Amino acid sequence: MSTAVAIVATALVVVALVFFAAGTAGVLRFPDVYNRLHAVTKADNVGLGFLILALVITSPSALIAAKHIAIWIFALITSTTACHLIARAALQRGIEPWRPR
Amino acid sequence: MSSVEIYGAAAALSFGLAVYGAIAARPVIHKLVSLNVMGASVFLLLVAASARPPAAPDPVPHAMVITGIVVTVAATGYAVALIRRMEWERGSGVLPEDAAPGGAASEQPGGGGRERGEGGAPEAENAAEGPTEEGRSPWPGPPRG
Amino acid sequence: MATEVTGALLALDVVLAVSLVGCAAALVATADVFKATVLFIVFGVMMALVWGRLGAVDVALAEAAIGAGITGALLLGAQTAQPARRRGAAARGREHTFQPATPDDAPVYQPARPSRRVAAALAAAAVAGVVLLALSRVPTRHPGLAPILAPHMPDAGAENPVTVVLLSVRAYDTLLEIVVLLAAVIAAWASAVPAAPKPEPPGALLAAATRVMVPVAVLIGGYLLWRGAAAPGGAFQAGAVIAGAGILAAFAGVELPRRGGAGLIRAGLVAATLVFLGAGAYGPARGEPFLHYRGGAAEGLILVIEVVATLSIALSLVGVFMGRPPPRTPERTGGDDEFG
Repeated sequence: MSTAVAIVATALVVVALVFFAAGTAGVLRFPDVYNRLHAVTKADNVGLGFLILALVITSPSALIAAKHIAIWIFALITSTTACHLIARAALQRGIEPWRPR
Repeated sequence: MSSVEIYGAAAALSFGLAVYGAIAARPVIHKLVSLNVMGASVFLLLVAASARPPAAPDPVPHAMVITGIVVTVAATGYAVALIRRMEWERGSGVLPEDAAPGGAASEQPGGGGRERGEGGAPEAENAAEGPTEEGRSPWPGPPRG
Repeated sequence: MATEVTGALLALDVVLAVSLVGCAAALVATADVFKATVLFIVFGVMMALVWGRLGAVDVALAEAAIGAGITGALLLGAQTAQPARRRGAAARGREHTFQPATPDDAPVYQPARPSRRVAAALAAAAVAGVVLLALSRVPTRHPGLAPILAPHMPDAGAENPVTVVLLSVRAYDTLLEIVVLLAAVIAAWASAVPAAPKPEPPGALLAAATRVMVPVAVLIGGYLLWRGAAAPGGAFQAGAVIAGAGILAAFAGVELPRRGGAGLIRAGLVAATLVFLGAGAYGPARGEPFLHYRGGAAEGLILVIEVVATLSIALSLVGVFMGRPPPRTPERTGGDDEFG
């Protein structure tokens, strides 16, 4: 692995960490389940994307890179579905979306 | 301080915490969660104690732990079936000997129900624990709270 | 450079270990059973990372799929709405009533009596102390069991040492483990409660995701199974991934075929036990011990056992999750069929 690739990969991981940190802060600080879901799924999907990108550019073969991308796509599908199901269950149980006072 | 020692200590501490949970938690399902943590801690302890880096990891404990994980999920599945059965029969997820210190109405969704007679052993145990709300009133009571 | 990497990894170890203990402490301390269950799933995922750090990739796969995934689903499933046979309901002439589990009327458990909590804390401290003491006296210079395994490796029929231990050297353990799974399914089904009313269909997005993810999960299961001969993976990890697909399909409302589905499931549940016993008889047929297969036939036998075991393990895990047998005649029981 050349130094340039290593620097780019490190930068991508740092960007990913920023998104993960933002998502975590959202889960801890946002007022209701819908806002928290928004924060965690959106930020974590993007963060995971950057992390996967860093792994792809450092992976030793195209096959391994393709597997990494497949992991990201499956994570997108499952986290979107899980987010939808949790929000739906919350709505069905009558949890009112938060409104600023 | 090596990673093996760090994980060994973590396994011992998690095991101790889970022992507390298995004894002190009152809902049986909470005890079951604690028992699962105990099991995972034992597996971690086994692998950490057998690891001798930089030597290659020992595959025999790994295989034992995989066997253990599968047996644990089988036992947990059966325990979950028993807990559901108990809740269906008794209307409560708490064992009679773990009866609430101060009235258990809120722990029995929808007012709760129990198949045993009022003069049965569980009530006698409740009475022995002190004047609980459940022990005094004819049971099942009306929904409270 | 090398020491910097070691230092960074050591920091990762400390963070993971502290997270593990923190999860254990939080899930024990909370009075909310749902929260404890979610923390247990987090604990399982952390554990999978720890297995990776300890070089136990086979165990990491099993922990993520079974320890966190299937066990988490089982524990959450135990807290969903279910019917309750109640005295009051019976008096009103109904066999059982529906007992909803919503945040508002979910039971709030009070802590145990102080005397019990003190006793539990003393027991926990004593156990943790003894384990730490024992751990400090584990001999650091021993060769482990790998040298005993090494002579069996060349003609065992697989290259992944964990697979060799599971399916050749200690095949007895694995046979009994599969019997334990089967026994758990039978016992769980024998104590089943009546099915809850069928919930409304969970929506188009879950159905669409299920159509994508179930084939993918089956494919990943097959991959794990095939790779397990030479690399981390194998029947248990594969079976757990496929079981996850089965649970997902059941959630999405996929139903069994009208005829024959229940019988096929029962046949699949016992298939691994029967095939494993049959493979075990290969040794006695050649004048060797039970479950003894080496050399030319070993690879084929291990492959057959693993394929059938994957099927049975997946069905068993879905079976205990469902908690009740599939109805033999769907025509008669009508809407009670929720075994997907």
